[in-house]
Amino acid sequence: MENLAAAVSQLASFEVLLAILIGTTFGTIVGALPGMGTVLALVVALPFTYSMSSIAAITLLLCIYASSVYGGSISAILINTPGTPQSAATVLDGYPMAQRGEANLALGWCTAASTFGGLFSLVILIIAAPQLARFSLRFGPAETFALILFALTCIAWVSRGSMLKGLLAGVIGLFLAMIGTDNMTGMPRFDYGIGVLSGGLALISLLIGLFALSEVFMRAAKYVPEKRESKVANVGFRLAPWREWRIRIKALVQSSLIGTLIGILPGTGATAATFVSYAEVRRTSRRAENFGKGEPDGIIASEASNNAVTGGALVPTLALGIPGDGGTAVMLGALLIHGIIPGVQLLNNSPEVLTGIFIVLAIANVLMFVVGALGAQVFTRVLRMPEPLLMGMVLVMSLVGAYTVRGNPLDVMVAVIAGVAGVFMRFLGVPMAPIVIGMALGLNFEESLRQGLMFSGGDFLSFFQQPIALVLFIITAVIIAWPIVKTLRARKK
Amino acid sequence: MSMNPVRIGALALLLVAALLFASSFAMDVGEPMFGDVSTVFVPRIFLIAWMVLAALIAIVAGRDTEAGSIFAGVAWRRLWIIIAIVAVAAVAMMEIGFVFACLPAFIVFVAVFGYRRYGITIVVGALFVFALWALFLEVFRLPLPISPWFGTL
Repeated sequence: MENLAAAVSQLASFEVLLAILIGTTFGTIVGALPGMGTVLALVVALPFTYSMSSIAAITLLLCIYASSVYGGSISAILINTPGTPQSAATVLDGYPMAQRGEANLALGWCTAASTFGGLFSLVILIIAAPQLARFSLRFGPAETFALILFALTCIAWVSRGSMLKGLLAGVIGLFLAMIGTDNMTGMPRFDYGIGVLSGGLALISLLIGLFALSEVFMRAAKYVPEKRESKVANVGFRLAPWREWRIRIKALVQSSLIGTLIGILPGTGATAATFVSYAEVRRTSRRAENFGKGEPDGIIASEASNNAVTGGALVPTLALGIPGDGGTAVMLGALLIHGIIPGVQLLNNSPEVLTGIFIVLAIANVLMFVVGALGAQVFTRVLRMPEPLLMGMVLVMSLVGAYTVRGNPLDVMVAVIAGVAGVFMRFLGVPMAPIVIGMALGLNFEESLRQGLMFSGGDFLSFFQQPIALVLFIITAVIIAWPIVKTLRARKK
Repeated sequence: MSMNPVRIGALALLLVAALLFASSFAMDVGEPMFGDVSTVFVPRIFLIAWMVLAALIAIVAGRDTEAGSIFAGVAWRRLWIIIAIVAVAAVAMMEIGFVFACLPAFIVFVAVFGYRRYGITIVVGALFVFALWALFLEVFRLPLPISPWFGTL
């Protein structure tokens, strides 16, 4: 109760309320723009947070994080193009419903399901994050090392494309974190006498390069002029009557649960959750034959689950400091910049901050409903914005963002180089998210390994004598071995 | 061994990792103490993993029937010009300030991207760049690079 009062008093400021309003609206709009996505929305907003108070900055980013996933469904329904990959399944039923002249109803289903999914996962987050953080007190260097290894393997496993490329991306990220002064000895490494490298690469500059600038370059490379016109009628917002909702409560809860649980697993992300949820709800629905023809169950399955992932993915991020996807990696970077260290320290030293995060997420999810209900007409106009102008704005924001991280001109060049490298990686099919997650976890990974080795006198086998670490190592080995076994079996057949 | 873009890319990544790995032996890293390992011990593990994975990708790429078509539909000229614009803008920003570097960069960028309504581009670009400059200077109190000619502009 004390924490609640302290959190409310921190949040009750004009700056924070403005951050909630702007964050939710901005997140919804950027999420709605095809191809922009959650990570880009967060990265573009980062420079604005540097001079804000910690609580206002985190509030802004949390609101963008929660609402951008919902925003992706708007373009999925109105122009048959998901704004974010997480909304890909929403197209299947949302657009056919809109084509029938029920775009307002489709947006109503989607908005309400998104809000429910977000709030459902928030409840799980409130229950699970403190428990998991307390459990992490049992973690020594061996357990931390095993956990990060497990998380990175999970992330690579579900990477789009091949597992090898996902693993390579993770390893590159881990190595990039090694550049600069060694925290344990103070010795420089891989800086080649370049002053700016001795302090290490700025995570934010890399994020801007890999996610924002490489997106700009790729769009330029593959741009074909086309009009993003909404060909659907009756754009607006309308909620279905209660009797329609009542028969779909099971689908709503089922999808939210799937989304939350998948979100908790490091690296799986909302896209996987959406398709698992869509398939599961379709399998159990009494209206399965209507799927793909504008069935509300399909919209609920997709939207409740992808928004539920936001709360789920924050569980390991806030409790253990392990980001689950690109979005939470940016959130983690932002938390650290503002002096908030996730994990048990956050729970013990600043419980009011954790409570504040829960309150902000609750408000963001409710406000998302209001923004969705009032802004439907506006979104159709935003979707008509020419892509070159939009990308020009992203470019300028990226340059500003890279510069304002530390006021260092070389960070801007690092972002540009990372952008070019990002294009190269995208062509090769190497996913971006594991690079960033690897970089966010690299120093922790090294520290836990070296501390573990120091405690055991250089005996790496002692890592396997810790029960929690052993379980995590076994799961990691199974994850790595599974695709190999599957391939070998398929060849035998 | 047939070459396709993915294989060439993977081999390039392998070469980068090999060069970084080799350079780690030329670093003065001091003597490890208290049972600790060398400063470059963990980075070398990552680099070895990097090399192994890049080599595996290069091998597997030979069987990938779609590897040859990853550059399909890519407008190379436009891509290189856009990269050049961004690089020039990044350098120019430090020399002539944010507004004088980013406004022309925005206009040229949008034109090269393929949008031909120049009037709209100039108006949107000017509004956006000046709004950002004012926002950072007046609201966030974060100074952006300035020109040598017009004070805070």
